[in-house]
Amino acid sequence: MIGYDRQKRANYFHFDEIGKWKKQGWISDAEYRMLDEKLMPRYDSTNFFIRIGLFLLTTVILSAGIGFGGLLVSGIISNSNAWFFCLMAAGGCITVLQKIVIEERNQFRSGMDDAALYGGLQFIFLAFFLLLEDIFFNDPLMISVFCFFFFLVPTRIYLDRLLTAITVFSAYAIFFFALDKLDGLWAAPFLMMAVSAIFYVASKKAIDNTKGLAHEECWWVVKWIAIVMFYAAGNCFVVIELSVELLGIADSSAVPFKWLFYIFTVLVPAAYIYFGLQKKHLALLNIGLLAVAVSVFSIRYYHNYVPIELILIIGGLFLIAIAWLALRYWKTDRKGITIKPDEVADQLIVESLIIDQTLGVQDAPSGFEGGGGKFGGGGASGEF
Amino acid sequence: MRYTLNYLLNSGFIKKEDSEKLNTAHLNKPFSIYWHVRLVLYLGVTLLSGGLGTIIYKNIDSIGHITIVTLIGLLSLSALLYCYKKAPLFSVEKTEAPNPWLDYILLLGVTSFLTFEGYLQYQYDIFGTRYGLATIIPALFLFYLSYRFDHLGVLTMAITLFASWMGIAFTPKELMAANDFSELSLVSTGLSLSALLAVTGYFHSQKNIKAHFTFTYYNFALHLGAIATWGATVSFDYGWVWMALLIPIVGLGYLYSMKENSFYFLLISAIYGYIGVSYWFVQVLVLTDELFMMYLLFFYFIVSAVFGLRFLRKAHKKMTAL
Repeated sequence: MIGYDRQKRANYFHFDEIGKWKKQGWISDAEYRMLDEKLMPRYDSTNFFIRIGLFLLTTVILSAGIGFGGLLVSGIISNSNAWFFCLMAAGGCITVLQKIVIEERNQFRSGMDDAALYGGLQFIFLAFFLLLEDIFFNDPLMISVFCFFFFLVPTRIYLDRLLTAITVFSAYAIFFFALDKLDGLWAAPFLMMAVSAIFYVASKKAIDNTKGLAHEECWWVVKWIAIVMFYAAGNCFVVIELSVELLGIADSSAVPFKWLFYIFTVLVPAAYIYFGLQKKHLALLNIGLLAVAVSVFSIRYYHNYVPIELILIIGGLFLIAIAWLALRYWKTDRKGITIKPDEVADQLIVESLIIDQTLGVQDAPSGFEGGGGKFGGGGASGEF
Repeated sequence: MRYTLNYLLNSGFIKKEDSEKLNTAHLNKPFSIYWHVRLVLYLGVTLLSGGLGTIIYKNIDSIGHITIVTLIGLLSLSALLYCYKKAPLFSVEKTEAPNPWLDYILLLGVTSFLTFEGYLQYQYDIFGTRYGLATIIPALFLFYLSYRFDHLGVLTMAITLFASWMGIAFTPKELMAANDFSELSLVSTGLSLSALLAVTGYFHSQKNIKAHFTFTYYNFALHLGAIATWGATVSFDYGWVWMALLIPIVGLGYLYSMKENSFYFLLISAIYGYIGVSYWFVQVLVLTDELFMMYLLFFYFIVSAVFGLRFLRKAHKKMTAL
């Protein structure tokens, strides 16, 4: 059998879920232990950091193993038969994944299976590439179609979230390049928004009638991407720059429906935040907040009458004011929303590193860069 | 949630009333926007202090800058005073700010203080040519504030400032890039700072004074120690001897991870340790014949990584067994 065992995988998720209930204090220790025994057999649970370590080490093993094999056949390998050895390597990875990692070691989402799966796919892809390079690997539309089906199959089998994301992006690429073939690129923003809307509705349906938590998580990935892409497709910066680039419009003021995209750029993030709070939808709220920042910079890119420091100060004051209002409004829980944390301790340490990274003061002798030089970036570069 | 609940109910693992109880608990659980509010506040403070810094930078030689600087000084002062008024009193235990608001007001006070102090040094040379003083004084002040208001972010900034006083660039991004550990003086500074931080962290947990600061001290100590050792290894003669210093560093990291159940420390110690051991092996293996060496190298990596996997999984089991 290829893929994971359904019952074990389902129990893995159920066990994860009851762990959360225990943390919330909804079930007692005794109940937890009772359910722990009932939810057998299941795949082993792993911690996030251990998962990174196992992923790295498995990658080392597979690379060294394949390097070892490559060294053995280095005398007979050539341009015409390289695809065969790629398939051998892929076969090796997938066999390791199925026989050792999944069946023998009972691993699911532990880093080991991820590494073996991605390694195997990489070599299958390489084999296809070597075989079919001359036939269709020069047409973006064909590549997109190929990628879509190539990644759809393992996505269906292993229900992996990264593969889901690649598949969804391939689908977007198919629509985009198909439109290009039809000379209809001016309609691309509208088509992308429509596709995102379809993905959103499809994912919502799939999540409502969930067939299991592994499926559900993949559909959540689709949903997040749909939300992001819907905003990106209507963002004025993306549209104007791509129009100039791809439609050959020399002057950015001549982009068709420009005013419409400005409206989208302002309204979509606001709508995301509003509905995110109203429907308690974490994805909408998170992306909405990010989109606000992106929108500010997109619009400023074309309308920079105001100097940067004023934008920073006004923006900063505005954000602080918003937070202040939110803190006042939610002094007590209202409308099912709270400002109290779910879980705190660990994340505060991450936050302290991000603060150090973005507000840090390195140029100390003159001390002048302190707070002055390093702003923005949202602190995404913290290497925790 | 619903899916698991249905499954448990249909399999008869839980009773109907338990399932309903859990479902109501789930539905009544409020939706937390704690991190969103913090993020907005954080971005607000970052933008504001960035803007203020830029304004001074651009107006450094113009007439109006005295006003601006005075305003920034006043902003810092009032932010800090506000914190004194609202924050709980100092305690050796962990103190909770009454709301996220206060944490960021403190941050605003600190960043504007640094801008203010930097400006004074630049324009009026308040510390003269004793540049060290211009760094160590704000560092000490930040240490004081971080203990007074129990703020991990300010503590991290204080450690960074203190390190830069000793000559080491110490933000997560610059630790590797900006330091040239090929000079003996910098390596010994790095190692002694690392030891100092580790001892400080140990002191905190042992005496139970702000014990939750220990993690931050140890974290800096581990990274700095390992990277300084690595720098010495690759740049000095007999570098592999320097690598022996990794043994206590990684060992202590491992012990701490076991004691505190910290998967993060386990991973970091394991990675540094693995790099160290591999370095030794590669050094020995390059002495052999070339093709044979390649085979041995691949063989070594397979075997060592298998051991690494075993080690991590065993440690994980041990830590979750509690």
